[in-house]
Amino acid sequence: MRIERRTFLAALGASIAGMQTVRANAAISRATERPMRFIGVYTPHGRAHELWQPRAGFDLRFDDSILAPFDDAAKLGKSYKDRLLVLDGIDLSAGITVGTSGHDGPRVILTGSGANGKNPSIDQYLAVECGLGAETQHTSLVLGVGEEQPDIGSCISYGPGGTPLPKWIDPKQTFAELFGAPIAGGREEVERQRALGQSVLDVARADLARLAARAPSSERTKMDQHQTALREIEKRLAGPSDSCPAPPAPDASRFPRFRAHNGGAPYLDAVADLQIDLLARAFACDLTRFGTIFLGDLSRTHLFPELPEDIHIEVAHRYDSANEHHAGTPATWKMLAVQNRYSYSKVARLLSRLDEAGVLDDTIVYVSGDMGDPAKHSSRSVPTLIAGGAGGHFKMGRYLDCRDAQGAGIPNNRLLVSIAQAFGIQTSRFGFAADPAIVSGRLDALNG
Amino acid sequence: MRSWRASASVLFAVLMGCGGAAKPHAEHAPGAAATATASALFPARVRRLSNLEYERTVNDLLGTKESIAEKLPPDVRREGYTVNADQTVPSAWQARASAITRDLAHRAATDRLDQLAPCVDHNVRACGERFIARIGRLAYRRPLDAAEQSRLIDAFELADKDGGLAAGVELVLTALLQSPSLLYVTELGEGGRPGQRLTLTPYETASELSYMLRGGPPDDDLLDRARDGAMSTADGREKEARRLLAMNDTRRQFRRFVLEWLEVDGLARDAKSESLYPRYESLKSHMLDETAGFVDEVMVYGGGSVRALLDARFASVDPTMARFYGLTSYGPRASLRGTERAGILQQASFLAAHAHEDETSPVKRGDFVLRKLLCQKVPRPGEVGVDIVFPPPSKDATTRERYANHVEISACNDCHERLDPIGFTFEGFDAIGAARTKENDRPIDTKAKFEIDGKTVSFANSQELSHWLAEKPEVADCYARQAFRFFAAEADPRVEGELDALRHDLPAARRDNLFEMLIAYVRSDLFVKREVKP
Repeated sequence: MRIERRTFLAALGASIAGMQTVRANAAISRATERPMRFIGVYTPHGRAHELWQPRAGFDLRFDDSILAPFDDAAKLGKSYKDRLLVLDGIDLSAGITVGTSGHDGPRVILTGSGANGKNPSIDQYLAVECGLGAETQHTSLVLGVGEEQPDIGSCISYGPGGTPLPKWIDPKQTFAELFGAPIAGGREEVERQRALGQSVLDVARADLARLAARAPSSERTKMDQHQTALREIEKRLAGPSDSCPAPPAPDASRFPRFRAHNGGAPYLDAVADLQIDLLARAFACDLTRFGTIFLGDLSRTHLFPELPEDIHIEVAHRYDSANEHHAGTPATWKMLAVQNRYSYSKVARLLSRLDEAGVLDDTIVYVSGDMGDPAKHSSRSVPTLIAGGAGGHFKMGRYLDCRDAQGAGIPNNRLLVSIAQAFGIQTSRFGFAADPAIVSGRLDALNG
Repeated sequence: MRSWRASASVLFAVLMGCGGAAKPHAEHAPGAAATATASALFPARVRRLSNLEYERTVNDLLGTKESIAEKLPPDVRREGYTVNADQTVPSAWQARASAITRDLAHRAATDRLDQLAPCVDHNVRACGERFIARIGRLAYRRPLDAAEQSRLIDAFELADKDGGLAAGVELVLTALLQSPSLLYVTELGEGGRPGQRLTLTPYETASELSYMLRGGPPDDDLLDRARDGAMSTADGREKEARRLLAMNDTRRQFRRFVLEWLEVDGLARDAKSESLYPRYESLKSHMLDETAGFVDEVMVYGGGSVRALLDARFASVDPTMARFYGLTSYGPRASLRGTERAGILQQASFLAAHAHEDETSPVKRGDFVLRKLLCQKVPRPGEVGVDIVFPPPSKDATTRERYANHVEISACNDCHERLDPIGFTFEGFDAIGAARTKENDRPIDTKAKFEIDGKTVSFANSQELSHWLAEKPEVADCYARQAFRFFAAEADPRVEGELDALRHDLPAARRDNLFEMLIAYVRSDLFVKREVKP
């Protein structure tokens, strides 16, 4: 069978010759090594703290509890309560000091830096800079739902130099990049296509080397990142070795649109599910060990009959919290809790999928948001969870209040340092801030 | 609807002056004056093309009109501008670009083989070599060196041995369209050590000129002039710049700049409350068309000056927008008499982009004027340790009345006494830019009085504000800086100081003309020299 010339693109990042299979080399077949994995998740709209904080005895099932989806055996077949660490009093301090807060807070979550930072986010640091993503076909995955723009308000993954990384927001694209379209043709033709693909890469490599040799050292980071991108293409060119069943392709009729604007909002629920399932599948097949997903501003999902149309303005902005001088308005907590619980139901789905695939125990899922109190656009006390088995490095199944007696929180950088250490990276600082106290030190309490 | 727009031939006449031929104004040589004292230069660097620049580059090369930019991961912005040195090639961009270029190369080699690689003598190898030398020079915007040529010939032969000329052409195109020499505009000259200054090569200079003025790569003519030495003199560069400015592409560039400067180019992604503004979705494209048409008019007849943009006193509207504004006529220069609109700041696109989903935002509108028209820094609330306090909703008050408490809270007051009054002058327009005299049955108040630069000023409405801004030298300076951030793809306050000086050396009559300003820049050493950063 003669294959279309254009399908040689499939050899550069897709599966081969109708096998519909992909490489899966570690999680299942090399269980003894048990590599660590990381997923970062962004959830929007802050949280209603009154209904987010677990009750005594780590109770997640009280009335209107936001964390209830993690303890919902009826829906997920089991409770994930014992795989959850609820962290109170985590501040996006490095951002707050330079004004990268509120809607710009996503910049800080995984980088521990404000907009002036140049370091990559923790997922990229581990996967690319420390080389922990080198073995898998995809060094890392950067996914999103609804919002494609690479601005600091809608990205949690940052490359070297601190620039936001593009997200795949179309499940069709995510599927195609991960599992490819089967191509017809014999082994000889596949080999030929691979040789052609390699020659394209050789030209690009040589050209890049020529350029890098002439570029000043200030441009080194850019050249390195490009080099990494070419290596990534080459990894996929090498093609599959072992096999892992590819999931069925996403049913595009479920989401005629996938961008938040221009009428896409009603489909974002389906898009979020598909992206989460594909992310989990990629981990299950060991196509990658590092991923992030930005669960965008799902403010017009029409999913909540009990809430107003515009959740951003009419729910998040109207949240009226309790404090020592003020009783707050419980009705506004309950409204925000509906949305918060929805976001966490997606995270619980991710945990469940990872669990089914047998990779949850080795995974650290870091779930956070850009704001604590959304009405104040405050990036203090942002809702933070660590989920998964974390490879046994953290003591799970508890609530940890990191606030001091005066109610002051701690920088999220400590968490990032602890995560890096769990991956065996001996670092005592992560992120960038003028004040070294912000970026230094780990969070000892995680280890129990 | 586009027929009434300014035509390219009109533009040509304007830019060429009355004589119809480019006449370098060497008599006052603005570049020379600035160069002698230039203490700062832009850095030597490599800059990845923006997605639109990439699209034009690929289309010019293949002779196609494909839309490519929208299929790539969106550009990273710097100060709101898509043309900047922060663009990189992350894996996801490379993967998309690879997939797109493979498809385009395949189609080009199938559909346009005769135009791309005419081969009458049937000597495939010779045809391949000719093709590579010609297309390679256009793709890399310089002649290929021997090693590059031979690498591409190797690739060509690998494909050609099974698939013939078309296969060879396809593979070479696939390689060229994603090769770093095409993807990056280089500003490296012949190299240099940190701290040293260098001069761009003639071919680099030609690329700078072409991407700046037409958003696309140099054509064969420009590459020939570069080879023949035209880029090394101020007059030679000016002559080429005027030739490029007369091309239709310049209009796209100027539009792009104004849309990005105004922060309205994301309007298509902007949503408003469907219950409050049911018309918005269907109006958006008309709004953007209006701004694009208006910008064309100002470019052709107003020299692209900020004065003309702010205080044109006409609208470029189709019947839909004319109705929306309550105008009695439509067309490229419809009168705004009887309205409170003056220019670009009262266009629906701007007013909608700088508003919330369900109400206006005096803060956003004021913030824009301070940041982008006066180039003043406005700290974000977090930076000064302030939590945002939203004015509580009310069915019995105007937005302005609800915002009154902003200035009552002292921590907020420092900034909001600057921001809010400017924004209040726009309160005669709702969150999608429709005129209004009442909100919640209470009368709208657009009057404002505030201090700026130590002087008290007062305005009846935003029309008066626009008129005042249009005449303010600081606004002209700020606008010039903003324009350089887009056209020079770099933001460096020290170099911007040099550029200010360059502009102020121009005769008064030409000082506010954006194109004369760019020509002065092209003539100067700032354009062709770089400093190697440590």
